[in-house]
Amino acid sequence: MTSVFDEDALMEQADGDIEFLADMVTILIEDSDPLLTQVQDAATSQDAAALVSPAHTLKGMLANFHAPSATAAALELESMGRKQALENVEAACDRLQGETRHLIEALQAFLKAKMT
Amino acid sequence: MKILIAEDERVTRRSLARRLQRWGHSVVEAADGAQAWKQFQQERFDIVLTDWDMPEVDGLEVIQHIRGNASGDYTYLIMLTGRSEKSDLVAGMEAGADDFLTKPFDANELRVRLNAGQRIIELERELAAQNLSLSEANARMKRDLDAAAAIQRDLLPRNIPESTGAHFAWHFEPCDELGGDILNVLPLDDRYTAFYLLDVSGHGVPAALLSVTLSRVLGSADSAPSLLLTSDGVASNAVVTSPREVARELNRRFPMSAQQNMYFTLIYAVFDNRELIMRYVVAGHPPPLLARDGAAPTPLEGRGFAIGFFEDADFDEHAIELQPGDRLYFYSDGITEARNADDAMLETDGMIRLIEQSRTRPLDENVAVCVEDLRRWCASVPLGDDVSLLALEVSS
Repeated sequence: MTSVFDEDALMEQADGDIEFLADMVTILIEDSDPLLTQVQDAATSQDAAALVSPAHTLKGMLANFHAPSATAAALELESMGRKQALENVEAACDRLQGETRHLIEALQAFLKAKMT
Repeated sequence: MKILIAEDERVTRRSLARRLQRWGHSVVEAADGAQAWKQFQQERFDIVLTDWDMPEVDGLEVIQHIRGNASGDYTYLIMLTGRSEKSDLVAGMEAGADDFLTKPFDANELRVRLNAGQRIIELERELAAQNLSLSEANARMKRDLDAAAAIQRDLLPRNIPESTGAHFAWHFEPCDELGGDILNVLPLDDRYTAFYLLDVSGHGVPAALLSVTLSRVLGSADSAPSLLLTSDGVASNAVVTSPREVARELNRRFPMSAQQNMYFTLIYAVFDNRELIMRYVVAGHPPPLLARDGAAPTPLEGRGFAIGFFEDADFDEHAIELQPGDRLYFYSDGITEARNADDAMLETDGMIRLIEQSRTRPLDENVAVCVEDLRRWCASVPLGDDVSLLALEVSS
């Protein structure tokens, strides 16, 4: 396991199919971006209700890549939204964006290594 | 199996779909609840995997829609849920979900849950097929019973001529589709009229079959009843068989050992409209009630073994002189043994009270009101036996 995701678990989930995994990473890149924007907008406007849904979707998406830190960051934001406790929402938002970016970079590096 | 996935998050949806396709399933993907419901209405799915949190139409609504659409084969519903959503899980299961799968899904867990679903689907379909078969059999039996009940009703009194010298009224009400009771009025010639009420032990089809047989043996208004009239050796002269001999002959023909241990009680009478005499025999049946001169009805004498009990049984024949205006009531024990909400039996005294309450009314109304009053007395307690009442009033 790298510090960002569990390689073995991910390969098992993808049934060893690198091409399929590459497709999933592409979807992650495409779909996480607008969701992160929604999360950021909700954090900026301190809108707890608007925070829950994109954070929840991101949580499910990131969990598929067996990335505990990124998943935990999304869960934290979802919980803040549900509890309407937005005192530290900006910091949590930065954390999620950073974890997601690290995950995507790590996945891309992993795919590159596997494909060569 | 054909599987529908309702999941708005693409990575999860695609991962699931690919895994299921690799296992040989046919998969349709829906990106939200509304699309899933639309898809479900267009084609049949064995299994639906649905996320909970989806825009517009969520997983709970998808489950409710599918379960509300009960027609067709059973669909196994699996909820996709996060580890922190146990309360959603409970609501989903209560709405009709069969199982749940925690995200991110584990392939082995997914496989065993699908296998469980397949077993349930097969059992549900087997059950549905058996239910359909039972419903068809039930409908067939109901049709047969309705037809049999119509045949039994056809055996009840009809076309009773005025020349009998008495007016007859009756009520016949089986407690099931078919009755073990039967009654009839049979004009034998322009002077004598036979009438009877019998009650076969038990209820339902076996009792009804015997009661119908007995009715045929005793004859109908349209056919010459050979048992009730015997020839005196001259073709044109028929002699009315005495009630005692009718009972004895029935006892010979219908021993309970030959009738699956069924026996029957009988009251059989012949009314002579010239002499105004009624001869009758009572075989294990409640004796008739006579109402005369405005006095309360009283039981006439008469007792004896039920028909079929003893091979050589004999029966006492009674005769009573009647007067114009006299009313006689033959009834089955379904009336006197009826129970009310206090679990009390009506008994003969109660029957007499019922008759008295409408005694001054015309005979037909007297009989009808009697039965209405019986129902009122029983209140919520259903009648546990056939109810038969045959009454006559001697014409003036």
